[in-house]
Amino acid sequence: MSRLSRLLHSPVLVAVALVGALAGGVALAVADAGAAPAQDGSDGPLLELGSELYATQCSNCHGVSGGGVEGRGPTLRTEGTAATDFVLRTGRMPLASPEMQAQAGPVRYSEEEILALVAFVDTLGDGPAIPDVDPARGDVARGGELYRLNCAACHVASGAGAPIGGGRQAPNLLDSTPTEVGEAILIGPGAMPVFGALDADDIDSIAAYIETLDEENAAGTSSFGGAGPVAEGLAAWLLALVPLIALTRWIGRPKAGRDRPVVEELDPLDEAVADRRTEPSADVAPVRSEGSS
Amino acid sequence: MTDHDTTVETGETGDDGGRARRGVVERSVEAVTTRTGTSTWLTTTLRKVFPTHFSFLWGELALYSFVILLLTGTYLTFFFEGSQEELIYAGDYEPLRGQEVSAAFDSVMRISFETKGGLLIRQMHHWAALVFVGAVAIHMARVYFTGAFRRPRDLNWVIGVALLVLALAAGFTGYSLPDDLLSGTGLRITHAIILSIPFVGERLTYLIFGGDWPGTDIVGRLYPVHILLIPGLIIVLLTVHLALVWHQKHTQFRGPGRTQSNVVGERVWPAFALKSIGLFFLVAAVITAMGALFDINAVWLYGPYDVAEATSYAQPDWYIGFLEGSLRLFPPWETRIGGFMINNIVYSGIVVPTLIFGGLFAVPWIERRLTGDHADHHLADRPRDAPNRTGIGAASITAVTVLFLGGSQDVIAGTLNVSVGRVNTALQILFLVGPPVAFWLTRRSCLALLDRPGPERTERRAPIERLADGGYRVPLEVEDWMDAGGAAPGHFDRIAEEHSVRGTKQAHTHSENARRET
Amino acid sequence: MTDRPVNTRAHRAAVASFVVAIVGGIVAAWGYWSDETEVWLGVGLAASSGGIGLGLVAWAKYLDLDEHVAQRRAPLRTTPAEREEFHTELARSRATVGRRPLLAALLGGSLASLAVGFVGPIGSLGPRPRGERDATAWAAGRRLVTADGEPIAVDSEGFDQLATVFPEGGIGRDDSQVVLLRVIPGLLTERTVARGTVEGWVAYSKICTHAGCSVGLFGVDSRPPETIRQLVCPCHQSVFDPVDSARPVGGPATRSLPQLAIGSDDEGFLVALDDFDRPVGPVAWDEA
Repeated sequence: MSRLSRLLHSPVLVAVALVGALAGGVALAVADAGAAPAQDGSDGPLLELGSELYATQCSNCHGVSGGGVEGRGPTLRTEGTAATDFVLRTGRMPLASPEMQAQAGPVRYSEEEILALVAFVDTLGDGPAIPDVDPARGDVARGGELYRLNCAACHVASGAGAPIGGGRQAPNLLDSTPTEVGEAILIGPGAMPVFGALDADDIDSIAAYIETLDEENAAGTSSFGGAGPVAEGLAAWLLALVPLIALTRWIGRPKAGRDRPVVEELDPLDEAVADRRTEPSADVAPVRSEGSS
Repeated sequence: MTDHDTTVETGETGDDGGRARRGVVERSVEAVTTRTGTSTWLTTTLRKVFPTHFSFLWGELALYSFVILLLTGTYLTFFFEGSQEELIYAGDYEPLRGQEVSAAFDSVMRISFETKGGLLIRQMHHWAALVFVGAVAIHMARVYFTGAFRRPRDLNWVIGVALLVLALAAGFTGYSLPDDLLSGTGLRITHAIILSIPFVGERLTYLIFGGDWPGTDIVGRLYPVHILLIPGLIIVLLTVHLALVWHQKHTQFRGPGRTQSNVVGERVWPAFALKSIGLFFLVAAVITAMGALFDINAVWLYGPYDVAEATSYAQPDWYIGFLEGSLRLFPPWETRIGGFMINNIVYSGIVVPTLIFGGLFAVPWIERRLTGDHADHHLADRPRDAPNRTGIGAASITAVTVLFLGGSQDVIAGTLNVSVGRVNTALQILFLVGPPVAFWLTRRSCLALLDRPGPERTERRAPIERLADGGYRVPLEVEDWMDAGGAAPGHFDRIAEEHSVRGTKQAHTHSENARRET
Repeated sequence: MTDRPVNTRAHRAAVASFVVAIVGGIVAAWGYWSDETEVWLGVGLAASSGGIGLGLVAWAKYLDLDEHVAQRRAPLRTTPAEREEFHTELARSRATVGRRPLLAALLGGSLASLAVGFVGPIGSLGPRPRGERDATAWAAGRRLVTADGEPIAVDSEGFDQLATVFPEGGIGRDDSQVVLLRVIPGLLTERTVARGTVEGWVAYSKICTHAGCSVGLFGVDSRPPETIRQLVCPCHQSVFDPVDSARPVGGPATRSLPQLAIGSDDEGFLVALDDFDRPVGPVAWDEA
């Protein structure tokens, strides 16, 4: 064996190579994850859970290190805790296919899992944090003004939600929690834009206003899912006009159909008038009777 | 006093007469008739016969909804303030407290939340408006499809279409009064349409709105229009409309004993009157129930109309939906001539409605032109008896329905979870394709129905006998037959010529019978 | 009237209806004082009216009043002789009053003149347009502020941002409402940038050029393969392209939203560089 081949076969060399590869891998992983923030001990198990969950549930579309996958999922490096919390708590993620609109649905994760994922995604990058929203701090009336100025165009004055073009829908807000409202305003999920001009006070107020939409209808009578005049028009036809037409059918229908014999022949009381008029277009001399009615 | 001398010979009350048994009402009425010489007139009126087909009651649905509108509307005028003066809302509805609103909006909020029973009356009023226009529409359809708009009732048809226009105007001005986001948006659109009128548009908007948009006058101006001008015009035209029906007498369907020169049905008093009054109470009941159970135009959700605010699902009341659909579905066409422009909304907001209502007004004359028939008609057709007319009617209704659907295109898209653009395209295609298809289908159905052999519902043919050789015999003289509502000689030949061979055999047999009888 | 046996079922139905009506009225009276006035008052009134209606109709239809009679219809014709009479009467007027054409013409002229006199008061309904529509409150140097008066910082975070802004000093002026967007700078087309944008911030008039509603809907549809950004008007679904001068790309609108040229001032806030270059919103026929 030559000196080179003896060196190459040396166990020390192998060990060094392995350690070097391991170190390199770790270094790459750490570098890939970006600047790892200082972590205190309590985050440890949470982050571990988060990392596990992420690897199995999210990395397929969002990339192993959160960089995003072309055609499947966007990068998470600019998403902070607010975004992660929002999509997980409203059941929007996991999303079955990138073509679908992420819609609110059943929540897939437990509270602990959500916290874990939120903590983990936070380490991948930087973005808006979960806002502290307290409707009690807000001004309901001002919230209503802001709502109508910014939100009603897509979410409808009643909070019912409406299509916004391209087959996308702004969702119904009546079941949204104040925190979700705040998160959505900050991150602009899906087709929704970011409302950067709204500060924390504004968000409190808007959340307070949306809570009032949530309550049982203020008037005590029932609305039609907040769909507005279209639903009202349909209701007028189906609930009022159709029954009325049915009632006229009951009222007006001659009991035995059109074949009933005529029981009486009535003449108009004014016999003279009736007689004079029986000949259509005949040349009848006018009867000028004095003082006739 | 002459009333003691008047005797009633024909004991109308059916009892043994005798002045002592006459009630207060009877004596009061007598007091009036003897002072005005109208006793005979009143008796004639009470004996007047009205036909009883149920579709003839639809006009009454409209009339009674209008009465309820007047009653509830009057009540509301005691509370509503027609002014755009700004004030701070300090009422019971918390989410708007502290908000700057107009006096009009504030008064509507007070009616809805602070006046006990106010919301009920307000919701009844608004539901009644929706029902009123719907009833007018089905009444108009009935008159059209039975040919009851022909001479001598073409005059009444014109008045009726005018009433429809006034009803739409009343509804529009009415829902614009609360000055909420939804109706304010509607007014904005109206402003834009008027602005686009060539030559006079801008000046007109300044006159109507008292300046540039939004101004502070418009609600205050719509108020007297809504509570005085339009109801006044409606009442006047309605009176003429009813007087004409009264004087010309109602049309009736053909049938045994029914001719062009009689009316078969029931007398005004007591049968017809009681049914009518009963119908009034039923209409009142339905509208009251709607007002009691269902929200309508929840202005507190829309908030006061304010600059830069907008909401989706922004539709007007249903009956303006055809205009909304026209605005939404009309392609983005605009005409530029030199430095001037015929705006897109001139086409969709002015030309289209003008064509629709122009067409409606012109119906009797179009019919005369197409059929050459200038005679008086007192017998109503069944829709199938006039296949072309019914077909055109079906086509028109299809076109207008597509417009109504177009007005709700975002709600449809949202409900079906498809893109608005796709709904738009589908409706635009439907607008072009639907009416011709509807015309053809309806006409074919009418002809097929006319074709059916057998004596079932053959009012237009008097009792028919089936002969041993398979043909039919109508055992009446031709003149009697015409009078009884049957067809003129050659009528069946005409039908046979009009459509395919399928009906020819029977038609020929009928016409042969007719000739045989002459 | 033929003698008919009393229809018991109908009679019972009519009795029941009227009883319901009586109960309904009482429910209504009580309901007025209850907490849910609208519902109980309304249901009570509805039951009351409905009961009366049903009772009356049942009475009329089934009990004693059902009849089927005929009555002669007088033809609505005028005989030629009657028409002659009418024409004769008119001819009489022509022979007297009609002999004064000068007076008649002067009468017509006076009535027309009287009508002209009313033009003034009708004109008082509204002032003459004085070119107010040619300018908004925007001018060079005016800051963009929210409805609360807060200016917008150029480096405000978040892309695909949306805000509604007014000129400082002109908050709430209808013609000056502006929809302000921030998109990733590279997405804006050249002509949009040329008109006046700042680091992805672009401003358009919020008034739809179709029929005047506020264009508040900004949708960012990021489905693969590409993200589609749309400014949609909720009234008639006109669609404008926010990255290309808000030109109309769908729906009935035919003119783009006027773009407001913006820049930044020394303190890093957004300001307008000029007023709009054409009238905002829906326009009159000569404002094209």
